[in-house]
Amino acid sequence: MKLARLWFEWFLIGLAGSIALFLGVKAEMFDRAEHLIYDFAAPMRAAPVDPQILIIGIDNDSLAQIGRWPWPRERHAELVSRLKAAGVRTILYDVLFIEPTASDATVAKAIAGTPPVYLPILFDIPGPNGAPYKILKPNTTIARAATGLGIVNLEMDNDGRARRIEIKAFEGGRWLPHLTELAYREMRGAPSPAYLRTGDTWPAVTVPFHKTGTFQALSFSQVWRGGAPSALLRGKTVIIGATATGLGDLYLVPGSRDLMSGAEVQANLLNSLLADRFIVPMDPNWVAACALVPLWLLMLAFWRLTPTQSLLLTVAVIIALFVGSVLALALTGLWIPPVAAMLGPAIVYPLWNWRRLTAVMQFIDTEIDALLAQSPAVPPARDSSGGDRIAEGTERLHQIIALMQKSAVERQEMLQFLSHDMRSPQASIIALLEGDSGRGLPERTREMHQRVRRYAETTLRLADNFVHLARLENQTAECEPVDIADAMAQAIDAVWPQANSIGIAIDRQAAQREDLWALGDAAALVRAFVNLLSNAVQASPQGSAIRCAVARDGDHVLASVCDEGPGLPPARKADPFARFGYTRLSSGARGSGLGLAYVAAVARQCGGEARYAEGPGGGAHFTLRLPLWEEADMGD
Amino acid sequence: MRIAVADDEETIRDFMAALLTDGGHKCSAFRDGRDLMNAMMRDTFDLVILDWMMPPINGLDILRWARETLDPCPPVIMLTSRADKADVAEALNSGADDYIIKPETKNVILARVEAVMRRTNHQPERQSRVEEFGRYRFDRMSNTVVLDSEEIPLTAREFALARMLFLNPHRAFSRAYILETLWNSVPDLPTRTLDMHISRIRSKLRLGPENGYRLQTIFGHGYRLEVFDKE
Repeated sequence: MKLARLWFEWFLIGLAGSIALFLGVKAEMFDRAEHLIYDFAAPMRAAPVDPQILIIGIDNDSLAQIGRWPWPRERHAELVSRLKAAGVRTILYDVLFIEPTASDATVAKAIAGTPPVYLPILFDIPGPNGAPYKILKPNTTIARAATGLGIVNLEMDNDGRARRIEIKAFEGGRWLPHLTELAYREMRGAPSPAYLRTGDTWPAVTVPFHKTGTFQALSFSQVWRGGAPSALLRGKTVIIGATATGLGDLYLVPGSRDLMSGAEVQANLLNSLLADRFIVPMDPNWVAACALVPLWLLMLAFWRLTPTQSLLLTVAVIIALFVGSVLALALTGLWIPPVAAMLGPAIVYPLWNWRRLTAVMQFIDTEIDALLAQSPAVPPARDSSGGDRIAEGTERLHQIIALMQKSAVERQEMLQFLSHDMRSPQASIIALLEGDSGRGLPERTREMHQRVRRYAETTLRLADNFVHLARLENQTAECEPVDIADAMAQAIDAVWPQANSIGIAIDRQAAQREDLWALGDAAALVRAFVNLLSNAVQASPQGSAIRCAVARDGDHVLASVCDEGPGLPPARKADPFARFGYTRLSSGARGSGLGLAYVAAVARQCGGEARYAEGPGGGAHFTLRLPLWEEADMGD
Repeated sequence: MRIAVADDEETIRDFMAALLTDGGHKCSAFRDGRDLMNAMMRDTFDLVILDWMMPPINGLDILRWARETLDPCPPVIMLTSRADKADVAEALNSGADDYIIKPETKNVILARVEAVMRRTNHQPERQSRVEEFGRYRFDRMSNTVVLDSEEIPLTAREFALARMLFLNPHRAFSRAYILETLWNSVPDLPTRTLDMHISRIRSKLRLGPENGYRLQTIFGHGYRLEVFDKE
């Protein structure tokens, strides 16, 4: 496939992934998953619990002891009086006293003065008869007596969980602060930093809630009866609210399975205000933009990586994004929803690999086509009608395999042909000359017989060398332990008559080491040594000696053949064991290089190597270095 | 001795006929495997020399046929251009008594023929204490071999193995035969044992053309001791 096309596909995949992510973020498609991660991480950001905050809950116990809700308002007045007597610092009374009753005066009297008592205002959304909202606030008598009124509205996300709280609301031409903001001002004497930071368009803060039940809480009835030690109440900012299950003032908050009472929600908010610890969610546009960064970095990395590496990197990036997002929220309060960024790699990885796979498949297809087109005799395809694309492809692969098998058979046949049919006539020529003693023939004719015989022998040797080399390279080796000195001895025996006839000695003194074994094909090793010795005989000047040696070198066996000839011609020294490295031998005959190529191939087959060196006074030194084979015990 | 030769090549038939006749044998030559088989059913030969690649029946098939159907079956020598060691091993393991790769010199062919014939015409066991083979003298009492004037002590098995080879020069011994005869088929015998004995005999006795002998491995089959002819 053309590189340009691959780049184009790469770009398209990246673009498609980017657009999918951007739209996903904009359409809030990842909210559910993001909420899961947020709810897991947000409690880690919660501020340490402020010991000044105390909840007094209108709990099931209180209902059982004092009576059914609503209670006579005197009970509240009595509680406030008790709290004041105990010396609390601030009272947030999260109970709505809306409709006027006869006991309002008593309540007003109780809450007036110090310590200050703050009461809630609730925006009921939507309001009745099409109004956007209805304001629920204490009746005038009680409201006037209170130090201040604050809003207590909660924002619910689309999964019904409260994560954000409006810290102020615009009503009647002015901003109404939150109930807890009023407490903050009372305690610290100034508006909270969070309040000042909050803009006007959407005045909400994101609160890192503690788990439900974290804040210190007392039962209404206990305090009302005077059962709470005043030391527990003194100096506290007390939040009174309904916590009983029947009263409905319960909410889902992040990080908790249990519902949280309104009073505890206020406690959390006040705690965060005091410590000024909130969560700042990142703008969705920025989230979308950030999600593209890992996607494109990964896309770039895909060019350099293998599929496995790509997969590992993709998984690593996804995990890193998750961990990074959780850490950022826990440590800095910055909330960067990671889901879009995590999803990006998960989208592009399979797409890119699909394209890569397609590219490879196309390449294979093209190559198969080219191969099938080149081959004159393609084996017929088996019937694959009704098969799909995969079956078709498999069938073509079968054709290729059949083609390779056929060529292997043909190669075997060729070797068979060479080893028998080409040898036969040469054998007959030699038999003809061998059978005729030549007695009575003129000297010239006899000499000619000798030359014809030598040529026939050369042809035989060439065919043999070629066939042996081809067999060695095409067949798997049958390796068995071979006594190297024994193989060398057999080779010497085979070459000795020829050497002896032209006055060359073979010194085998150093080659009689027993029990040095190497794994290999014995016949091939003998033949390799014969090749080295024949070369040495041809290269040796008359009257010189060829020295053979077998020795141990650590965990290797060294078998060497050294002559006193001129060494290899310069042209062959660079690669002495190259095939068809033609040389003119001193005898005038031409060498094909097959013999030495065979030597090197045998050495390789044994897991060793063949080396060439020259002695100080000239002469070719060939050495086979083979891994030693040892058997623990060889009994008699 | 009556020897049958089958080869589709006239040159080889003539060469063999001349060679065997010179060696004092009577030779019948066949150019076709079928003719040979017919003759072998009607007639008795002391030895059959077979080419491998012959139309219409190849030599190996004839060998197998003869081993299965003829009783007694004459010894068979394969004489062929197929030089691969796997071919050699296959023919020998199929029952051929010897295998000669073409081309081969007259002397070697004749020596191999004699070796096979000697083996089938049981020769009397020699009784003397000392036996002489070329430059080697075997002393059966002391398991010692004397080369020229040097005494070479051998173990009992080495001596027996060496003597077996020297008594049957040119004969192809299969590993199985040697192991059965000398080791009585000891179970769990390490496969290298025979190789090591051969190797020790070779180096102790300094077997080599210099001393008139050549100990050959027949790869995939066994061993052969050749008397080396100085000529």
